[in-house]
Amino acid sequence: MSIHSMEVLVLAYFDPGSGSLVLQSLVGGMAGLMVFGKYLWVFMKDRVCGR
Amino acid sequence: MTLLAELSSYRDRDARVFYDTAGGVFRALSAHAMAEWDAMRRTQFFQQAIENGNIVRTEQLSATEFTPDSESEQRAGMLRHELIPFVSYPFEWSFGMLQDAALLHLDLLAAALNEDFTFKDGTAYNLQWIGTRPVFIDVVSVERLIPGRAWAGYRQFCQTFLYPLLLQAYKNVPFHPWLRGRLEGITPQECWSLMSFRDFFRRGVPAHVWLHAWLQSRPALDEVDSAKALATAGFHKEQIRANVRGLQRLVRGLRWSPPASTWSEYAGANSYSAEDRQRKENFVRSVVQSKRWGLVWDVGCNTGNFSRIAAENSDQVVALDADPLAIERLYQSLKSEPDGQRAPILPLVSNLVDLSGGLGWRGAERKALENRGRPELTLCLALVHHLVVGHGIPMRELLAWFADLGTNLVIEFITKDDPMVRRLLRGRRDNYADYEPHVFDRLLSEMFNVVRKETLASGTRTLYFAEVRSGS
Repeated sequence: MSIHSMEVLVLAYFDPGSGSLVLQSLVGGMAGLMVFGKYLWVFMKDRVCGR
Repeated sequence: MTLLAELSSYRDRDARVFYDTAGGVFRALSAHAMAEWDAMRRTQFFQQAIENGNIVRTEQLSATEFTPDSESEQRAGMLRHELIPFVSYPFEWSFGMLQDAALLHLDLLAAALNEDFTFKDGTAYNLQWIGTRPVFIDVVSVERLIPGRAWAGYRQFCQTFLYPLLLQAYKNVPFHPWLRGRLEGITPQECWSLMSFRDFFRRGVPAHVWLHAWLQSRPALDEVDSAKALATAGFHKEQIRANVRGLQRLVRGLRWSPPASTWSEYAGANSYSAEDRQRKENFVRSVVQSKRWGLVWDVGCNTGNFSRIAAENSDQVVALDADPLAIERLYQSLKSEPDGQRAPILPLVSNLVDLSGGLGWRGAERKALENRGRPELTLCLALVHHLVVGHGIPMRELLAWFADLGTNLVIEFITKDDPMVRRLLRGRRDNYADYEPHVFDRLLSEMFNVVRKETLASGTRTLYFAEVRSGS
């Protein structure tokens, strides 16, 4: 996958909402688990490191 | 061509809305938007949607009609749209109307995805009505799908379509005040707060409400660039498709089971004799047939019986009623009629004593009812007593409002000894000195030119046809 195609990352003229984007990977199928996993990792890291 | 900018069309810089002096609607497209439009209009789904009347008819202006503005990035091309007979907003639609509009949006999105296109937003304000069919009007919202990109409009769809429908279907709370109160609609967190423990197990709630609310404003999410992460993880359009299918099933299955409201039982319970009912219909019909009418309003339309009579000889009827159930029943009744024979009636939930004003930025994004089209003829039948006695609106002011609209008027006055008015006066002090036939006569003649007057056999009900008083 070309990184260059993602230069303009948000084409919408409003904020689609990070959570709403991530949610689609969950309700849309199992393939998004990787993304959710990454988020979960950051979330857990924050909790453990006591932020 | 002199173009006037639509003040409310500012969010999408790629395609601003303009009007010409003849009332035509145009969109000025940027180079980027032109490229997307060019790709989209060749697709099968778009052409099919135009043919089916699901997307508003749109044409690109030719080089002779429009010269690209070399100095402005925003004017690389111009589109002209078919006119919507009467603009309306989601907070005026009945449950069924919002549901059908949502389903159309999802159907179009599904069809677009098949050809690798997507919709960049998902707001209910992108839909309008032509007759009783929902129509998608924001053609510039359609863009080529970039691989790895999720649907940016999903949250807007939830906020302006799904949550209002869930609120009404699951909690029997009409969504109209909520949508009117905030143009962005109901947020995921708010929707979740409105759900009880029992609701957690209902369809659509765990994923689209609870999880959606939980994923909002999580500090960790800011650190993860979601759009990029999704793309890297291989987010595929198949996931959008699966989500859309789930939403289609969910929305299609929602049902509103309201308790019967007093007005919905009106048709059976009102006190007109068969003869009087016929005379009233004849009176209205003779006015309707007297000339071809443009825009007609039927205020307090209830069952829509008289809206249908008005539709026999007019271009467009807007049927207004404060009762969401009455409007829903009228809509379903109209919808059940065969396509080609459907009357040009737009049913809307609207309370005359609580009209929505200008909303949004500068109070100009959504317009007040009377600024969206002045009626040439208004039917105000069996309503005056509700407004004057029921709500306390002074008679003079009510008639002055109609006079200001510049509308011809078919209006019914019902005296205090009629059972319908007696019911309103019960338990109330009668301080409605202006609610007398001679006062009504005088005020009406002052502000209008009374052409016809007929008292029904019951003796308590009088119909008037009043014309606009010219030169007033």
